[in-house]
Amino acid sequence: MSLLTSDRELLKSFRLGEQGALERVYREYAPAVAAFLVRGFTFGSKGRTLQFNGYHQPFDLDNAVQETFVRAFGERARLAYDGLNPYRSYVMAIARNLVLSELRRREVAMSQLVRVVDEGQAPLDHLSQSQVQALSDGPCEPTGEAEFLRQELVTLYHGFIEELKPQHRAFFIARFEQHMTQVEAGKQTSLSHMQARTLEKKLRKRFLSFMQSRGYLEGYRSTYAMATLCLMML
Amino acid sequence: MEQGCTSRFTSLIDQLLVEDLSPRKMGELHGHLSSCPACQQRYNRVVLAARLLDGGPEALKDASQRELDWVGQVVVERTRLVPDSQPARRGVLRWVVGLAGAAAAVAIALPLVLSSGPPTPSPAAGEFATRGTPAKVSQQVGVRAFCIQRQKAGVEPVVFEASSGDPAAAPTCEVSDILRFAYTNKSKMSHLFLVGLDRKYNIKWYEPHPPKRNSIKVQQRVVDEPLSRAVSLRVNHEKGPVRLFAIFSSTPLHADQITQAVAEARRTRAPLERLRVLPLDDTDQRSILINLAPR
Repeated sequence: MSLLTSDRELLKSFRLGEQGALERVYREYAPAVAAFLVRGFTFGSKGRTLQFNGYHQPFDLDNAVQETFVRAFGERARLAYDGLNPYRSYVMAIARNLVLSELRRREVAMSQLVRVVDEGQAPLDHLSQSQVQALSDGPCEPTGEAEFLRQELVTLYHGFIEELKPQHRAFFIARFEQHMTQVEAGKQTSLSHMQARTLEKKLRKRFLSFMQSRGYLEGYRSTYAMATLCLMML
Repeated sequence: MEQGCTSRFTSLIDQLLVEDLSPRKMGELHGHLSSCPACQQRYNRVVLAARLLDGGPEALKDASQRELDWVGQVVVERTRLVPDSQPARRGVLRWVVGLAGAAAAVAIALPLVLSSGPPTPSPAAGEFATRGTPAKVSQQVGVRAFCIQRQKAGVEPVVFEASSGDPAAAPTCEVSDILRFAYTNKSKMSHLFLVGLDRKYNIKWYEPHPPKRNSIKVQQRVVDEPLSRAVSLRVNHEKGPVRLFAIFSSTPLHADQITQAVAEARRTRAPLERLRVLPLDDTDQRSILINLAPR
């Protein structure tokens, strides 16, 4: 059973808009909504099946998750939820409608996120004909720049780990790659909880400095990356 | 492109890699991000780095729990500030009467009605006509403000005409009241900024409400379209006159432009009673003076 259908007290608090209930519902459903918005979905328009490719830029994704839940937590939406059907489906429908209304509103900016899957489906009329025409012109896949950026980031990440002292490296891997708690990662590297906490903050700061010093956060390496990519394609 | 992201926001974004921001700072950052492509780019890079740090290379494509927690802070804050984030689709009077029924309220409408005659020239407007098309009082747009008093039972809503500027004749709300709005737009303007200004030129942000910083989109060819925002006058308001400005524009205005315009108006020392428009080019404006009385 889903959270809100199995806990009637929570449902009542949720409908009243109590902060604790909203936070609990958000934490339960936000990962699924985010995954849905990354993965994308198909929809019909004027006889064609279109694919929304999903949000791949973190800001776009976070913004869409935020807007979905602001809509879902609005008074009318809270009260409109029947408490019988799974809330997951309800909030996914809100996310889907949000994306479709964004597609209608910002057809040019969103055109890269949509592609035609099938020309021959029955019309479902989610979008106007003019919007469909514009949407079908965009590229289908995430850009090479985005992929190159990810590769660059992973390379930097490995470079950072290599620079660490053995004890710090062992803690880093235990904590961040093996997902141990601070206490567990500390124990494995002979550190007290306090020392582990201090080290984690220090490593985070050091990671930030490392990324800043490599120009990753400034964006110029993006230009460099694109130039390199173009050269590779020649 | 990077020039647009100021050091303050750069620093806030980078801090996300080290630790979580307070809800207030997170809200401020998200409000800024929506209008700053340079900061969005940096945010994207920092978030990817944070995903990598917290989950390793396999976690790059999906939002991390930490990232969703940041968003969650903003969601809860926005939900708390806007009890009903969806605009009401009912008529204004039904909306007001509904409130009266539910809360034994009396609503006092402070209308900025569309005028059939020529607009009243603004004594202050001429002082700002320096570039572009100066701001003007428009016949094509209007805003109604409703003071809703929760404590007076069994009283029908009362409508007052807008004041001509004399604070003694201005409609009065109590500082314990709630203010709500409806707009009319017969122009081609597509965006609205709604602010209040008190005697000390302190700005009250109504629509958009922080952390949002850009004008809200409004419909065209509508009359008395309700806005969802409910303003509790107990918060950030004191007794005395307040002038409400409805600023319609064809492109979104940013809060910084409003702040700058208010600073410019302040420099001219124009009293609230005469300040019909704010010095913002290419805008259609209506304003009304109200008095806030102690409860």
